[in-house]
Amino acid sequence: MATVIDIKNVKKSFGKKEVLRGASLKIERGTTQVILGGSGSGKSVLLKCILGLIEVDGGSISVNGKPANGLKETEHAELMTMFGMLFQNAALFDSMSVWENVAFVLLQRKMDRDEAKRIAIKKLAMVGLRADVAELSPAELSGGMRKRVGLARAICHEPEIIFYDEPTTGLDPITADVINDLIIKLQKELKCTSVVITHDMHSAFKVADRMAFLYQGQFIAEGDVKSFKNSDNPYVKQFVEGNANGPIQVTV
Amino acid sequence: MSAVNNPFTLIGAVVLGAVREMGEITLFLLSALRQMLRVSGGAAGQFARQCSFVGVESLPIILLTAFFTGGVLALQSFNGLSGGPLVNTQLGRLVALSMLRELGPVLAGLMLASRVGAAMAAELGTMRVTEQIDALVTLAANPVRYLVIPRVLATLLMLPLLVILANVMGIFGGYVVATKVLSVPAMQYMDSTYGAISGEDMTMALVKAAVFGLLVGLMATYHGFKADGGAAGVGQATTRAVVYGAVSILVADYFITAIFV
Ligand SMILES: Nc1ncnc2c1ncn2[C@@H]1O[C@H](COP(=O)(O)OP(=O)(O)OP(=O)(O)O)[C@@H](O)[C@H]1O
Ligand SMILES: [Mg+2]
Repeated sequence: MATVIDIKNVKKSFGKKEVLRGASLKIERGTTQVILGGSGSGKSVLLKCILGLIEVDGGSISVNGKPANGLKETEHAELMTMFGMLFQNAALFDSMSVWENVAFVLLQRKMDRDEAKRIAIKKLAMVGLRADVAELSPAELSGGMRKRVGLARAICHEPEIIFYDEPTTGLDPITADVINDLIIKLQKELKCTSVVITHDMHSAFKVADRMAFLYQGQFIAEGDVKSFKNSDNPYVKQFVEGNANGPIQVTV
Repeated sequence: MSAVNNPFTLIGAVVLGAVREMGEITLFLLSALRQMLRVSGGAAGQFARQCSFVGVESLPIILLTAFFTGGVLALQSFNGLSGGPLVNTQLGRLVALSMLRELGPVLAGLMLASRVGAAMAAELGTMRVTEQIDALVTLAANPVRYLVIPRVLATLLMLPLLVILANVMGIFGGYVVATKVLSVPAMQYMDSTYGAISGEDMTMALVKAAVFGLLVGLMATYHGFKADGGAAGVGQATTRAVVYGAVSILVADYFITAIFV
């Protein structure tokens, strides 16, 4: 299997705060990679580094064998067409209606508006939203609906690589499972590579092919689902079991 | 002597900071100019919307300001001339020149900096802190092309139009006060006004307006883009957009005036 995203020894600090301290991970084509890690461990920052939204301080990231950092603007835009990103807080454009958000890329490509809207409504249906939300503005949506619109927008241009930053957080258990199934279905149908950040262990085990655990700025464990379920690594074990007692100390 | 106590170190740091900031703003402008060469479909719609926001919707407040400014100018100049014999021939001229060369562009620019600059910085700042600008990038849209260009172009093109109307309104305000309150004969006031206006004054008014418009748009989008740290960060960005916009207008006003004189 070919490596699509190769993260090598990535370092990133904000001021004095070291968030990533040499994180390395290879993500294989066509797999669903789940990234686990405590709140504030730098999972979202890592995704933004891969997307070039945050400049890394050290290390390198390559996508399909080509470096993904320090690109010229046109090259970077070209690279972005391969990606779809669901932001943790959805990051919907609040000056546009729901369907214009979903069809943003299509409208940028000057697709006919009726056609773009038809496709947007189809994508909304895939994430379990009815056609009548299409005309609403993002401010009129609930948190879970916003997340799903964000997801529809991320997949609208059928990208090769999809990043999901906590796709099921804030959803009811049934809708959450609809999203799980959607992630699996997209991966099967589009043969896309998915990177999923989640705290929802049920979802993690359901969608993952590979899992990795980010702790104190580095990946301290990586493996398939089985190896995580039966891990002897005390850190992974504590996290997967959701146990307050163990080597990971969370100060309240 | 410690670094903090040494005045030279402090001055050096302030100057360095200011130079760096100016450098960054210049780079931001250059990247905007580069993007201007390839404005896309979505940006055109944004531009139209911004023109209406900057131009049409600013009209009432700018006209109102201009009217009263013209009126005040007439009152003040009347006092300046001690209500003497020169009033009939000079009052219109004084009002028109002050309005055209100075107060029209500067006041319209300052109104724009507070009304439009604040709104733009708040909007872009909110988009920054809610990751909407990041989202644009991941959707392969260039945020400078999509958000900055339409706004800067709108302020650059709309302020000269607003200034022309503001000047007309200011002169009208002066006329109303001069003829109705100060009893200056209307014909003589108008003659004195017409006699004063030269092509050079108009050019100066328009050059100032265009430069001020550029400054308002640039300061607003730059500080909006640089916002970080949630609602407080957006608030700071908004304040900066207005303060930097206003101060840069006054500084630029001095230099443009110095060049023309
Ligand atoms: N733009 C930024 N400026 C300064 N610090 C930042 C910035 N972005 C993230 N951080 C810091 O980096 C750390 C990691 O943040 P990140 O959002 O990646 O966490 P996370 O692993 O996604 O957590 P969660 O599971 O809660 O979403 C946090 O401590 C955060 O304060
Ligand atoms: Mg996060």
